[in-house]
Amino acid sequence: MIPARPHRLGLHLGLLQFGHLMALQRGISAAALTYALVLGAWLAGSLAGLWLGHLGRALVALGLVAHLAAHAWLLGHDFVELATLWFLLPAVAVGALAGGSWFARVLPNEPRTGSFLAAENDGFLFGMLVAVVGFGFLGRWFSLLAPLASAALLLAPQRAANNN
Amino acid sequence: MPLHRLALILGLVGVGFGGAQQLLLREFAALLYGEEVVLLLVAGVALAAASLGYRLGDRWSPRTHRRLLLLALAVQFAWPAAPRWAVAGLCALRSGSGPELLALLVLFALVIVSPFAVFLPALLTAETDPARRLAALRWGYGAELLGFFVGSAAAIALGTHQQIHLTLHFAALVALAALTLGRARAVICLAAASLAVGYGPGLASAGLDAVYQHKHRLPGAHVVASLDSPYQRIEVVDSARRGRALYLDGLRDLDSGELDVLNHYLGRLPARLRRPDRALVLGNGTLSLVPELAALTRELHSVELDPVVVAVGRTFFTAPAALTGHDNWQLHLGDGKAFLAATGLRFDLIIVDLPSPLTFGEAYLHTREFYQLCRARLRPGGVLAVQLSGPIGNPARTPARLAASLSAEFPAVVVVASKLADRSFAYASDARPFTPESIRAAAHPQERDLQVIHGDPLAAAISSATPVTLDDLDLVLRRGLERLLERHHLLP
Repeated sequence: MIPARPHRLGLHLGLLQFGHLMALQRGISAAALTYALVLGAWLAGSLAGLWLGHLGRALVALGLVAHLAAHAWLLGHDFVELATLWFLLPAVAVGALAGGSWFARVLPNEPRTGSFLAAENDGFLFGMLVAVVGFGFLGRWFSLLAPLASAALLLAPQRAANNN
Repeated sequence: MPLHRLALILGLVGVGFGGAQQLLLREFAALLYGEEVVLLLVAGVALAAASLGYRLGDRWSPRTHRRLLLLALAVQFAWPAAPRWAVAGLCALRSGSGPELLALLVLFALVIVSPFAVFLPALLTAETDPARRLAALRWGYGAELLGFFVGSAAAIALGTHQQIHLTLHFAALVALAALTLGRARAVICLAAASLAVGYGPGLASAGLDAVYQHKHRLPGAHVVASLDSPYQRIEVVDSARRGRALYLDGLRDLDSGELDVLNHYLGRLPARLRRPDRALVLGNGTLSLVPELAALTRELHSVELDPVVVAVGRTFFTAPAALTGHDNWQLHLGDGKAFLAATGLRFDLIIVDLPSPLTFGEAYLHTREFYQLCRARLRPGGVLAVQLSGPIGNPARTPARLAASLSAEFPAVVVVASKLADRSFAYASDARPFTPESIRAAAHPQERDLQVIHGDPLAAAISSATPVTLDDLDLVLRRGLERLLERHHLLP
């Protein structure tokens, strides 16, 4: 049984979403289109993940690989053309699959769904703050590597009687 | 509850949720001034309010939820007049802004965001069978995500048609009321929404005048235009003290009195001294540099990200007649860094006319990497002209750090500190772009004190300043936080 870990899930998703958003706005364009496309790709990934509840761990790993590939490519390119957004957007959507999948696996059996959603949202808020402050002070390498740590926290073996 | 009804309710909840977050973000970014730190604060408060709503979804009785949803709808029908009058009133009482404005943000976020977050957990928990709950999650939460995207996208896309956006947003809220609050309350909501559509714009407009009179301390200020672009709120304000001024997310970008001086040092002076064959202006949404530069170059390109700023510039700052007949001028709407990365053109003069780096989006165009890209797009002997935002002094502040970034990428940098403009400008090139004598000779006719700093004195002035780079954008957060705390009297 995979533990629920809503705070860790939210932290991981916050780091991924804002890492993608800041990397794409930095490398490609601050245009509103970038924000709208990143938000759209993220929501599409979350939506698709709702039908993939059985793949929770695999989707975390897949999202991480997509994130690393996209950010590693962007590390090598300070500024690029708008057209490159199209092949980076799938990485955003793949990163969001884990969120929907996790919800689909945990929420049907969760007695207090509000507490789970609130904890996940709190983690997301913390992830957003960490992503922005980390990028501001430590730069692109932080955005690249921070989700590795949050994914490790999310997938770490569970200790007895500790669900989060 | 049947799945289609659950999906419809949560879809409308998503529209209301996304729309309410955008209303909050846009209004409070402008009321608290839109540095990156403020955007982060408002987004964070909205998320925290959503968390509270999720928690309460397990605890609130349906009756309590209905009452608080009614309150949330009522406050949104009073949007944006309610927050504007509240902020103006608090500032009038104190004769300035204080920490209570941040408390007001929290209050509005709790009232208009939290009740939307209650729906999902309340409806899911009502389904006790795991299979039915999974179906409810897939269709209900899926509908909420779609609705959230629609609500957010509508708010962004219809920013220049605020009344149309508010009418559609209110229609979605009335539909939600009809589905969840019963017919009588829905009729009351419809009446309230109709009143809001009819009388709201006048109240909101008067509230905005009051904000500029009491928060910005501009007696008699009148907002002649207020538009939301996908990037920021753009306001044109007339007042006796500043004349006609342009504000971006509440931050003063320029006023008509200083425009000529800024344009002189940023564009006119380097163009007269360099006589470029091909020039590029990044920013300058008011287009006020165009008429003069078009006459001084064979080919002029302007790149501006925000089409609404360009439209406002044409309407309020640069007469359309002054922009006609320049066949050698091309306007490109887009991001300056993407334009430079893609273009095969090379320039004799690149002018960077952008606000101070108080958001990441602005800061990217003040980094070493960006200046390196500019240098790669200059012809031999080409010059980059940059506004440094203030006099060079404290090495931790923006002017010194931007000068350090330029000096790290260009062999020769000359800084001009103008008393008249109350700020500095920099000219960078592969070799010394202009002599101090030529710069002084080309100074603005009303200049009282012009300092030209280069060579060793400049190196000494920025010796302890750290260049801004894509991996060191702390300036954005540090300065933003300092300014936020100063404005709200939260510094010891």
